[in-house]
Amino acid sequence: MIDLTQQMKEKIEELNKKAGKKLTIDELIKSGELSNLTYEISCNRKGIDKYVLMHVTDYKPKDDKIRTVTEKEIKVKEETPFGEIEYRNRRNTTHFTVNSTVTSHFWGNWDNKRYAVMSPLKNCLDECKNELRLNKSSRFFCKRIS
Amino acid sequence: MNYGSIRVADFFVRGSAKLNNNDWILCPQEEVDIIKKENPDVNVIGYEGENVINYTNRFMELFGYQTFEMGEHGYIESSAWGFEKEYENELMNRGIDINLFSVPHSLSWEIFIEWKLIKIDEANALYKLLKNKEPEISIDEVSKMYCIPDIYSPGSPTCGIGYEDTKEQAIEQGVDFFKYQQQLREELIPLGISDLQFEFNLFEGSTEQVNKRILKNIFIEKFLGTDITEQYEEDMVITNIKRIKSIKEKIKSEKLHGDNEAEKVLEYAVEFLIQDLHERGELYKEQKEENGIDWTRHQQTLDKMLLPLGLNCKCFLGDKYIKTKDILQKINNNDMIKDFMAQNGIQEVEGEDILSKYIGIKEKVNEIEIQKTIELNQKGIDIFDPDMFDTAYENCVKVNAILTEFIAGELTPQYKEYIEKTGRNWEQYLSELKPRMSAIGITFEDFMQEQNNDKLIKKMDKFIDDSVQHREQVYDTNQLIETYQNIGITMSEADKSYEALKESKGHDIKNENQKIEEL
Repeated sequence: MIDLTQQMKEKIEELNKKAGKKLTIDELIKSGELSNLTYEISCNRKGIDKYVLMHVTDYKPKDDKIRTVTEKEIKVKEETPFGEIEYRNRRNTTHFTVNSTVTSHFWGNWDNKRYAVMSPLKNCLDECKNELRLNKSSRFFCKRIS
Repeated sequence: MNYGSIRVADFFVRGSAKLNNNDWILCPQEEVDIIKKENPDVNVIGYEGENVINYTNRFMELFGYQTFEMGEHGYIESSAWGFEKEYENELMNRGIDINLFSVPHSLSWEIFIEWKLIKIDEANALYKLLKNKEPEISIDEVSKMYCIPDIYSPGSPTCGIGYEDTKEQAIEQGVDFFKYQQQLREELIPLGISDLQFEFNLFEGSTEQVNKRILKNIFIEKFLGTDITEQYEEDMVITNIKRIKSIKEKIKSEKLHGDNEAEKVLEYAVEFLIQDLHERGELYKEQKEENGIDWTRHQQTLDKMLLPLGLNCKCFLGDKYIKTKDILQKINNNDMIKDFMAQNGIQEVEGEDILSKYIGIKEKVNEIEIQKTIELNQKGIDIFDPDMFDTAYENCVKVNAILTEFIAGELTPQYKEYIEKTGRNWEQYLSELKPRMSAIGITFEDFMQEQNNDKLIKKMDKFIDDSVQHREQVYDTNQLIETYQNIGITMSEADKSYEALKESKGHDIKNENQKIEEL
């Protein structure tokens, strides 16, 4: 599967080179040049490779990272009867949906976001692997001291 | 990365998410170069327009992923449910405890901490705004304020879990929850909320309590210029006792008692700080003992500090502090007594029991009243003659009457309860006070019945009105005797009491009486 994904990357680069510019997602899809490869990849996606994380946001990823609103130091403004107050947004978590795009609901609107980040689930699991192992062993310890 | 939840609708990690060369960013076409420059390891593709949402599913599909429509809590299509089950099995096969990491963000311990921090920040921002606001905001305005953030509640309507659940969940996930707890604790310090208040109130207490606390901190800082965050000691109880003292001193020294706002603030501040001592109660004692501090000795130290405030350590550790609050307010709020004491050089006696203190003041006032009566008589002035009206004498009588009322007010069964709660023997306490009370013309037994107190207070009011404020009504000796009888003593008893009191203060009664006779 890694090879197929690599092939997709290379194919996109090739198409860009051919067009003499960086093609947009629409142009890549409409060109029809990737459909065979897409089909081949989808048929071969098995196990953990079937799952992908999607994150949509208004803020640019930076330094190869999706930063939380807390790290971006985004402020919340609020009108009070005595004037405007401003304080930090303390959401220090990064959120994704699995094989789908988040939809707007009562607690948030995602209709007009500028950026999307697609990350294979396997990447994330590999990143967290060591930590999960640690969690399992430390859980016993934490329970004992609580 | 640090897992929070693996749910398909809301997969989240704590902190930022690191990206690599297997990840893709979809951004507006004109930003492709800059995004690539800022994220050199990540693949970047552009799209036409302003909104990425229309492209995300097609983007995933281009890479051979199956996509589904998402609702608020999960996939909408029933065809996706099998896919979701497979996803969970896949994670379980990889050793991930699905149950442990399937808590929705809205019910997670992470949102609990997040909302606490947001509300603390919000409170801090409002606190700063109100402290610096020009023109001045009145206390009434602030107290009507509806927007004081609710930092006691779990956070938002979406955050439906309490502290214990939060803690348990975090520990189950192998998270060092105490680190977050400590962070919250530190964030609260600028609001003057710290230490035990945090444990006792932030997680377990009511919204109303913390809102009151913030408001009162604002009052104290704004109107009395006392920095509520100032730490006198590491021990918050001692700090707060010192705050009460300093607020009282400030009121006294700056003569703010004529200022209604300041009076109101003092009332709030004293009530608030006493309440604070009361809330700490047993928890404070336990903490001291856990830290190896000899509680008995510590209690003695606290008692020394608390007594001038009419409080006692055992009192704030108990369930009730009923009377002490009222007593403090009476002392602080009665301008006439304060002025009278200042004009006549009567000092407050530090360290005495509150009732003894009143009786002590009343003894001095009685003495002054007798002295003034003698002086007026020597000058040939009839104290009941409206033409010879004397303001100093009037004030003295009035203060005397108010004090009598106060003392009567304190001598209730509740006061007995208070004395016993502060570790004293009621009978012994009485045996010390009775002779002094008798000397100032107060019959003790009557005052121990609450209904009699009410009756007495009404009589005292009438006495003040009749004898002082409406001077057109001339009193004679018979009327005075009747008045004394109404409050439970005879004229001769009153005379004897005055004489006994004067003698105890070193007066030569016989000589003084002889002079009055001669006049």
